[in-house]
Amino acid sequence: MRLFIKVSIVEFRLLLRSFVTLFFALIFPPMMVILFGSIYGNDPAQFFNNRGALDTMLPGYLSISICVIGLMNLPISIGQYRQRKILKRYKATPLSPWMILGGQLFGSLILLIISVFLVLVLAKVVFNYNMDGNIFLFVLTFILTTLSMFSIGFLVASLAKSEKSANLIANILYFPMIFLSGSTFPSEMFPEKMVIYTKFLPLTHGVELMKGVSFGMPISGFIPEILILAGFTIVCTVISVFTFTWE
Amino acid sequence: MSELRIQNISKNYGQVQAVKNLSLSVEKGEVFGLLGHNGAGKTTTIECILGIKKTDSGTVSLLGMEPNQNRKELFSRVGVQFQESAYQERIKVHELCGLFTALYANPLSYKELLAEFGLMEKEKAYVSSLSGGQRQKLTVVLALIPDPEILFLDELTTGLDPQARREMWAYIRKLKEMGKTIFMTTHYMEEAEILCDRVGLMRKGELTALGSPRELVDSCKLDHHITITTDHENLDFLKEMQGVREVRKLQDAVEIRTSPDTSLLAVIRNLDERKINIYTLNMRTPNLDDAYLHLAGINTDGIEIGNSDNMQGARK
Repeated sequence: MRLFIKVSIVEFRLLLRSFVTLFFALIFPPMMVILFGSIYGNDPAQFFNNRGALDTMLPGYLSISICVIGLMNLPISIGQYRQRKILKRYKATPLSPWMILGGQLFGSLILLIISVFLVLVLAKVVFNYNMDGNIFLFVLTFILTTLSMFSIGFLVASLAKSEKSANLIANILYFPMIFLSGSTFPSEMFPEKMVIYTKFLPLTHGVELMKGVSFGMPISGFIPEILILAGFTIVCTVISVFTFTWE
Repeated sequence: MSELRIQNISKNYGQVQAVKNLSLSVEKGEVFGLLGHNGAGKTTTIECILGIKKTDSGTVSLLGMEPNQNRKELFSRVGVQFQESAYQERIKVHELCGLFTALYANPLSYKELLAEFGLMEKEKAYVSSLSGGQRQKLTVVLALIPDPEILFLDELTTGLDPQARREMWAYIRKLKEMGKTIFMTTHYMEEAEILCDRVGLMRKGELTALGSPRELVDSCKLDHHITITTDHENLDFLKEMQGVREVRKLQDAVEIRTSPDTSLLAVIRNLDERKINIYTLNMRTPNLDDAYLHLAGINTDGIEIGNSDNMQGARK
């Protein structure tokens, strides 16, 4: 356990040294809050069914943090570790290379918590964010969304042959996901025909679930979303465990 | 009991046989060198020994253990330097050393090791900012942190400048004096001759010769070379001497090749008796480099001339 903490601390420190990661994880999501918050404010609006724009959009902004860290940074850095034979080096030590991956995951989660904290504080202090729903339930839905996105990230890391292809696949998944799932632009804005297509993106269900719960809607109305997210988590994790290679 | 015993291991990559039925053992305190061209299968052999690559057949016993079982115990007693070692981007020297220290039960002090390799002032530096030689030294420091009983060094000095190479050699000799067992690969014959108790020559995945550097050289029965400069026009009379195989005029010197059991002094004495002035005299006995090229079937211009019969003689 002491060793795992040591590995995690080192990996977390390395994350903090990457400007790109820091920018997208800690600066970009709060920037979205400030940008859209300044444009739309947070007064009840008819367009958002008499809710504040920020009250409606906040779960989406949180999902941007999840995607940046779990879907982009995680597979790219695992791909890099593999291609540069860093994982191979640790295979010739008493340390299980899983520990390095675990440390990366742990470091990523800490980064995610910081990112979420920044977004929430900013939303609350500047735009007086208000959540009608149960905060505990909301945290659970947030964790489920996180698990599903991180497992997709691990799957990309397992299937990508090189650092470059991990980068490419991550980008192909990431951009449609954050623009079309309702995390960056409100799904209320999308034409009806497009809404059908957005249902193919797992993150859409995560955003819908978190949104609904934050509005105080009963969780029993979101069984399909929960099943889809849990299904993605299980399937992606199983496939990546079986297909993962160290070299 | 041998520290390392490999019996009949083979490893294929698809159609390519990277290692063919290779057997050898390394005793405690021995420095063993695996020699061969790039692509001969040296690195694959090390990876099979360490259980990083799965062998297709054969057995490996390292410190009395099978490398795929007890990995945790085994690798607390084995130090490894890989040919292509990379570390996390943006990691600092002391962080990497600290991480490796945390992996082992009885680690050596990395500060002392860094000091020994002249890396102390780099302790707080990024690994990526080190020069090639410094980075190579760091990989050795990391391999030594576990205070290993056996050390694997894969092309340790490739890419190092002559001074850094000699520093490495001095350090390896020191490790040998401390009783460490060392398994190394190299394509510098000079290095193998200086450091290794025994060497194995690999060619296209097969072990084609095995023995001490001296044994390997002797088994080839290569000619000695005497090169002299003289103002005497014709030295052909030397050809009549027993053991003189060739007398060849070079640009401004004469090269005399003699069989290994010929007295070199007799040749010189012959010249002296005929009052022939010798202005410069260069005698070269065959070394491991010559033996390597000979055993690999390559002539002195680097051209492959096919198999040599002497290979059989050196085979064990």
